Amino acid sequence: MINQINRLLLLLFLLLFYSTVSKAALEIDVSEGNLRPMPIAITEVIDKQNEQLGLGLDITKVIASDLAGSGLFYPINPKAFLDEVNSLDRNPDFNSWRVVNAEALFSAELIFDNERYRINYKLWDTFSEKSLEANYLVFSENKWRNVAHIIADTIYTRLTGEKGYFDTQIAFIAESGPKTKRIKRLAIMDQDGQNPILLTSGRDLVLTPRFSPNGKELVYLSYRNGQPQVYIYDIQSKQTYVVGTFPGMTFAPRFSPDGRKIIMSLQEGVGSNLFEMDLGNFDRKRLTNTSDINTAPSYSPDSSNIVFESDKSGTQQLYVMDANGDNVRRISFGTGSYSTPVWSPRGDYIAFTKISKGRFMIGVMFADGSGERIITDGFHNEGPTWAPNGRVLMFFRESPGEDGGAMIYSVDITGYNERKIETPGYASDPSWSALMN
Amino acid sequence: MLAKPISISVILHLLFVVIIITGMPSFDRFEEAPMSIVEIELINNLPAITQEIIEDDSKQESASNKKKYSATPNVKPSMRSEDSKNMNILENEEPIEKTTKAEYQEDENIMEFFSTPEIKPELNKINDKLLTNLDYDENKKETEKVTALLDKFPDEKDVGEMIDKKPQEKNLTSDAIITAGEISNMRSQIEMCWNPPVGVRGAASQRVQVMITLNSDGTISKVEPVTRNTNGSREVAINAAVRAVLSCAPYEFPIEKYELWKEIKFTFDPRNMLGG
Repeated sequence: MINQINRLLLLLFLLLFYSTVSKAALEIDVSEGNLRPMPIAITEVIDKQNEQLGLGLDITKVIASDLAGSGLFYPINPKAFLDEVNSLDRNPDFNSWRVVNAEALFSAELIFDNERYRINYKLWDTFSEKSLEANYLVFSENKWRNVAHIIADTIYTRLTGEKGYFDTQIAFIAESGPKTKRIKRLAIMDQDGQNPILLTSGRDLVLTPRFSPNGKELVYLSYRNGQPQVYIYDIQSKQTYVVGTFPGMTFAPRFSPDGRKIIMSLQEGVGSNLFEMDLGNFDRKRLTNTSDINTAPSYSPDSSNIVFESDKSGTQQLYVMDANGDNVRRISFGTGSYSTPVWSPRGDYIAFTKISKGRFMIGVMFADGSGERIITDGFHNEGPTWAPNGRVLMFFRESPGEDGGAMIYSVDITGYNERKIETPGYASDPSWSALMN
Repeated sequence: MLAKPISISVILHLLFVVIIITGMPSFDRFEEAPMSIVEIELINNLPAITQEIIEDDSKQESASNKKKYSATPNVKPSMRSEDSKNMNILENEEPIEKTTKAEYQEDENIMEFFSTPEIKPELNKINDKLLTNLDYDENKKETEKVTALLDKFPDEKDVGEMIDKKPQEKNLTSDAIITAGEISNMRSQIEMCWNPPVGVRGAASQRVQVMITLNSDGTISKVEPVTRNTNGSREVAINAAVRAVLSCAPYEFPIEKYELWKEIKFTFDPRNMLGG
C-alpha cells in the first residue's frame, strides 16, 4: 500500500516536473485508423523485345489478381495512371503516382536472353519515395505463372510484413457425375484455381488428400481393393504407395511438419485410435488407446503437440495432447460438436468444423481453446485448411438439393473477403501446400 | 534504524495525498455554498428553453421527436403537483400550453415506462422540495444567463465574419495552449490516412512512434520514426505510420499556435482496432 502511494507520488512529481520544466513536442496518440485495401499501382511489365507475345501483360495480370484476391490490396486501374514507367533505371515521378492515390508502385521489365527470361522488378513507397524491393528472377517460359506468384508474394511480404501464399498449390477431390453416383478423383491446382491436374482415374473412391510439407507428395485415403487404406501419391513420378499394413481401416492421415512421419487413425472395434508411422523405418507408434472414436489428428507446427477430435465426452470435441500421446486435455466447450481440427502454420490458431443446430460452420480458436470465433456459417461448410502464412483458410461448401455439390472457398481469418475458387467441376476436401519455391 | 525516517516520510506522503484529495485549505469557502441548488434549477428550466427553440426552428417537428430531445419527463411530475409554487413559475413561461393534449398523454406513458409508479411520488416530492427552495427571481436570473449564453451563439453571418477575422484577432501568446478539441481535430486528420498492417503476427502490438516537424503552412519538413526498426513486421508498421503522416499533409492546424504544433510526436497504437 505504502509502496503504491510512494509510486503514485513519484509519478505525480515526475508529471509536474515534466510539464513545467520541459517544453517537449506535442504528443498525439492515434488509436483509430482507416482499414482499407492498400492502393497500389502495378504498371505493365515492360517487354521491349517481344511485346507482341504478351507475356509481360500476362505476368502483370497474375500479380494484380493475386494481390487483389488477398483483400489487402487495391490495384489501381491502369487507365487512371498519369505517368508510365519506361525504364527501371531512374526513379519514377512519385508525385504523379501520389496524385492517383497509389501508396506503392510496382514496375518490372523482361529481358529475353539465351532461351530464358530475366525479370527485373522494383517496388517503391510513393510517399517516402524509397525503394522497398529491387530484385530479379531468371526463368524458362513455362514457369511464368510461378514467377508472377513469387513476385506477388514478395510484394505482399514487403507491404504487409507477413509471408505471402500465392506461389502455392491446392490438392483437392474433383467430383463429377450425379450425386448418387459421384466420381471422386485426386487433383491439384494452383491456389488461384489455374492449372488443374487430375491425378487418379476415378475408379476408386478417394478422400482427404493432404500435402507433404515439401509439396511433392500427397497422403490420402483410397478405397482401392475395397479396403480403405492410407496411400501416398508421388506427384512427380505419379507412383502410389500404401502406408504400412494395418489390420483394419486406416484413415484421416496427415504429414508431420518435418515430413518424416504420418499420423492417422486406425479402426479398432467400434472406435478408432491414433497412430504415428515413421516413413524412414516404418516404425509405428500408438498414441491413443481408448475405445472412443479418436480421429482427425494434426500436429502443431513445432511438432510438440497434436490436436484431434474424440467422442469420449459423448459428442465429438477437440482435444490436444503431447506428441507422445500424454497429457490429453479437452479444448472445445461450446455448444454442438467439433471436428476436423487443423493447427495453423503460425501456431496460434486451430481451425475446425463446428456442427450446431443442423448447421456446419468453420471457426478458429486459440490453441488453448480460448477465443473461439466462427468465420463462416451455413448449410454445409467443412474441412478447413490453412494458407502457409496462417492468415487465410480454404474450406468446401456443399450446396443443398439434387444437383447440389461441393465448391472450394477461401476466406480471411477475420471472416472477410470470402471468395469462391474456380474449379472445372465440383470440388471438396482442399489441402493447401507450403510455398513451392 | 530506518524506521523513523520511513515513518516520517510515510506521514508526509500521506499528508500530501490528503491534500491532493481534499485540496488546499480554503478560507473563503462560504461563497461556494448555494451553487448546487442553481445546478438543479437549471436542469428544470432546460425543457422550457428547448421547447422554445424547437418551436422556433421547425414547427412541423413531430411530437415524439420533441420528447426525445427535451427533458420533459424530469419536469412533468412537478407540474402535476398542483399546489407547487413552481407550477406558476413554469406556467409564466408557458411551456405547457404549447404541448398538445395528445402529446401530454404520451409523456405520461413515457413516465410510466421509465419510472415505476412507486417511485413517482417520491420524485415529485424531491422536485417540489427543491423547487420550493428557489424564488422566482433566482430562477429568472439563471434563465437569463442561459438565454444570454444561447444568444452568444452567432448566426450564420457572424460566423463568416469571425472566420475572416480569426488570424488577426487572436494574438500569438506564449501561454496559449492546444485545446482538447484541437488535438482531437489533429488526430482525426491523421486517422483518415492511417492504414495499419493487419496481417502481420502480433499486428495489434505494433505500436509505433513518429516525430514530425511541420512548416507553418501545415506541410511537413521532416519525418523521423522514433521506434526502432527491429524486424520485418515492425518495419512495415513504421512504413505505414510514416505513410499516414506524409499522405495526410498538409495539415490544417490553428496558425496562431504554430509554435505549439511545430513538432508533434504521434503514437500509432492499433490495439483498439485489431484487438489484443
